[in-house]
Amino acid sequence: MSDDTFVVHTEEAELPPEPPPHGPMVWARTNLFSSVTNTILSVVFGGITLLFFWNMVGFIIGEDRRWDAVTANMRLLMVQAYPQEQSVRIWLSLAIILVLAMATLAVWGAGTRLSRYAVGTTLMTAGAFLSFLSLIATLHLVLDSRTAVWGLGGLVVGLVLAGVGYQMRQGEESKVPQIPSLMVTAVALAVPIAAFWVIQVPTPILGGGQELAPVALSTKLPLTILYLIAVVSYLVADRTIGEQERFRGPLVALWVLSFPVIVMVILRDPIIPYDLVTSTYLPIGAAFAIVGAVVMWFVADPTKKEAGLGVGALIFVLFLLSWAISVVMVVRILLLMGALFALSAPTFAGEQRARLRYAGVWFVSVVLVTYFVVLVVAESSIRSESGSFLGGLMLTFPLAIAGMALSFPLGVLLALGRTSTMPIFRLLSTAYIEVVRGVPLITWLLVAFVLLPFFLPPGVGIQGVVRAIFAVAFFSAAYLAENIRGGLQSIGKGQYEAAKALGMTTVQMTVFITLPQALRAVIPALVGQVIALFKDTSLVTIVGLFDFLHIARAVIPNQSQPFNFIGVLREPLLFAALVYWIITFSMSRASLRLERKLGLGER
Amino acid sequence: MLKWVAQLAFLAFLIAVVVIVGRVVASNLSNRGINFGWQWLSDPPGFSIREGIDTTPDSGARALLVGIVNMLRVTVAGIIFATIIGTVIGIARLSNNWIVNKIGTAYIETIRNIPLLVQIFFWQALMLSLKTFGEEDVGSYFTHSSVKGIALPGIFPSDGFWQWMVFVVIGLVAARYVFRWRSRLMEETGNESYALTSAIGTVLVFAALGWFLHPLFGWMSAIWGALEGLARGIPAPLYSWAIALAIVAGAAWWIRGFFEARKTPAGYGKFTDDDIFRVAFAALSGLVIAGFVIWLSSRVVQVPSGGSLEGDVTIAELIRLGAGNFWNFFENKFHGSAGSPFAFELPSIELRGAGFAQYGSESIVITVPFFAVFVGVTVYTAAFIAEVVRAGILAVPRGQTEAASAIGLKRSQYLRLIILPQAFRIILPPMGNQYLNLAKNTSLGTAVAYAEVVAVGFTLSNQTGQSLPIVLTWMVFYLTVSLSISAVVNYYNRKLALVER
Repeated sequence: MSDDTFVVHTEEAELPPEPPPHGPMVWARTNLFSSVTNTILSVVFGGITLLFFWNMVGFIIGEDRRWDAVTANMRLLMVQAYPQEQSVRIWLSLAIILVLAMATLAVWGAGTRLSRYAVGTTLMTAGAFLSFLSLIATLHLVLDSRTAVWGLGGLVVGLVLAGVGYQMRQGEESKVPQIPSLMVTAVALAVPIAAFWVIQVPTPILGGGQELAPVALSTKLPLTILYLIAVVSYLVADRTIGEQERFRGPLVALWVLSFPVIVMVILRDPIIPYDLVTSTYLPIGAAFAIVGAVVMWFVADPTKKEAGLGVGALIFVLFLLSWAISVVMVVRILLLMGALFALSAPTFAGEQRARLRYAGVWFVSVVLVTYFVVLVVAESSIRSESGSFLGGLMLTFPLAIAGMALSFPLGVLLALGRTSTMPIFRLLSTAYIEVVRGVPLITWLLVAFVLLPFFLPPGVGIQGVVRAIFAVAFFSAAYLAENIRGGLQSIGKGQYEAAKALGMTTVQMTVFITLPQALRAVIPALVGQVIALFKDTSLVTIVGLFDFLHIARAVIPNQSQPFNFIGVLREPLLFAALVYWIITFSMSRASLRLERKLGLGER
Repeated sequence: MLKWVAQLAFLAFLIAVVVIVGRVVASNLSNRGINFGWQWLSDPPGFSIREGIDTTPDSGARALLVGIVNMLRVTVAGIIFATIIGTVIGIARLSNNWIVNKIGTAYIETIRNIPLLVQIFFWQALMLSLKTFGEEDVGSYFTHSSVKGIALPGIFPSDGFWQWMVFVVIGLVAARYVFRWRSRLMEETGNESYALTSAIGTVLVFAALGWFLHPLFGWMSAIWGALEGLARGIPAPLYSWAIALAIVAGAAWWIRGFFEARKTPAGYGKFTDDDIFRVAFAALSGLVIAGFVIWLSSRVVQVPSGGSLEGDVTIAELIRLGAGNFWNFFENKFHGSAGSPFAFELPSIELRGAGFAQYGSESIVITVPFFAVFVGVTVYTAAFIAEVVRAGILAVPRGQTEAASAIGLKRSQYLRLIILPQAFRIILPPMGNQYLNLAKNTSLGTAVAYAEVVAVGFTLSNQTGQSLPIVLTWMVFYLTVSLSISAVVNYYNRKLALVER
């Protein structure tokens, strides 16, 4: 670029900006009535929209609507038959997740700043929409000669919000971002929390009919406490560990650990067989941890390049042989883990510190794996009618999270296989990806539920929830692999050449250079896949698991005791749709912000 | 070297796992006294199907066929309507009009973020909340909707339909020439020549002529009869050999294409392990599949009595029978007095038995399961198609619009001649993916008891216990559908691709 053009450019930029046209009339003329065609379109579609909302609101507040079927079954929808006296376990799990989430937000510095103008616009739109809906509701109520107090209340609140938003948009400097976005979110979330203490919800009466009653204390009190915990923990985390990079690794580790801890320890409440632990698991775990650590320290020596491969192959043969004899399952798992660790030792080999760290990672992994095997073997003290302590929305989330966690490594391996130069690996990966993607998920779920018993040795059974997780992960891995392949193919040739020039092996190049870049490049696609997987978990209702959708569609409309909800189908389904919508919509919004923050797609 | 050792070792490991699992399966089966086979294909299925081309199929294969046709019905209808709705919404998202724009956005953001299964259940619940009908409602209606479905006035192909179709086919061929002629005229003179409009007009003219003149083609019945005789006269094994030959020729064609692509004036260059593997794999799989076809077609199956073939027949003979029946179908259709091509029927409610009212058999009834699946997949896929269309139009560089208006094209002209053709090229591959998703999503019909291929297969598997063969049938079917759709999309994609130099 020459200097001339640059100068011209700056002069242009210094011209005073033209005052933007404003006022509702100007806005309407440019956006609704700019031409004859536009005017016709506005009138026709405005009418259709009005008709739609008139009918929709009329449906929602209709006199014979059974929303009490939703409120009375809220606990069933959320946690299915999890015992009520144990529900503090669920609140505790949520609290742990919230504290971790807030710490993550603080450490990564996730919040941005919004301008008063932007916040005002959102507030004005939301307020106008609320008053629009409330107006329709009020008209409906008045026409049916019912009391319109809640409709009028909504109207007033909406108008106040819109007015506040309009005020915030005024002023010269209001376009400079200065309001923390997290504060806006916190205030926005405080509204529904506060509303729980004010509003009344339809509640069924024993013996028929429904009435408006306040929200149960067992719902609104824990929710309020959770909200306060979230706010306080963010403030504390922001002051103490805010935006410090060294806390990122430990936080990720805590997240990874939190899932098994919450599901296996807090929600399942295992009865640990202590005599079995001291006689079997403790000695085995200790032996593997100590002997293995020495071996790992030995093979993670860069001068002994082939040693890791040899030791790894040997342990793998031991692993295969272990199936011929009867031995506790944990031994086989640890042998397989040892083989993988030894085989990847040359990749992470290095100086004294790296070797010690490698041995340390092995030690910690063995302890954790043994611990979780004990937890899985132990019996659960939580009994529920469906045979699983997970149910409702509390089944939907673990399904999605575990499915994603399992499918991710498999997807990475498949993507590497498909882009590999080794033809047999490529052929196998391609065949897997194409066959799995070509057939609908419901088929794989039916395979897992109908066909799997034939493939297992006699006496081995797998729980329904685990089967569903495997089917979902197996399916999702093929899609993930295609996303990751896109990322791998987008990496410049120079990266490969530079890695080779530094003397890296192919594995080192993949693990340290190309794969991290590929994964970063496809983060939006990966989040899209998470959302798709979350929506896909609803399919387990077809194979009869008691997930959120199954309770909304199959359980509630068949209830006759203590309240009669026979045939009430539309209300629970609409509620389910709303919940799914809120979750997936917020995930997709979060992914958009993440994308913008990472600056992806701008290169 | 090490790479090959690793690959072969992994392959050996995989084969070992397959062998071990196979033995476990075999022992499990013998313990439970189950024998997996294909006899269920010809055995009576023992259940009736709610809707489809045959509600009381006489064999498992026939039941599956009913399921397949039902699945294809909802897929084709879904693809057509989802494309139309999706395109309209995608363009609405680009509109300057605030209301239209926001309706498009709201539609996409609502539909995309709710699981399809929830939506299908919702449409079903909506239908189930309608009124039922009884004796007092007997009569004829223009349309009628109730808890039993939506009855619509029907258009049926009638006696003269196939003769009329001959006119339509001739019209299509003629339209192709008209289109080329008008396009050439436009290229030569630079004037607007309305190529597409004239082509469509040609088809319509032929269709209108055929409406009155179609009995002229009654004599074609003799041709179809002769073809039928020919098809039945050829020895059965020749069919299987012809199919096998086609497969081998396909593999040879691929290998030829491979060498063609590698050819440079300086020769072929050095072949890597990978190249050799590809050629060897193509040749080997061609031969193996061809051999499998010949082996399979000589297998003997039991055919239930009643048809023209009975008892033990080979699959090759069944193929020959199918070819003969194909021509026989046309022979019959061209026979006899040719009435009007179409018949119209209004829906009616009739009394069947005491106090039992039902839609008349001549009414076209959209059943509740069909409605739920069809509306569900259409509305859901349309949201994704809308995003595809919008992205495709936005991806055409702005300079194209500016250049088009600079040379004096009107808005309607530059949209049609400049923007849309380029946008179409970008839209096509993701659109194909959406069609694939739609086809696979129709399997959710199982959840609302729509008798598509998964639902029928699942019932069959419950009845006969033959779960493994039925799962294999599903996979083969869905892979065939997926491959067909992607083959069509790839064909057009290659045709439309920019020729880069």
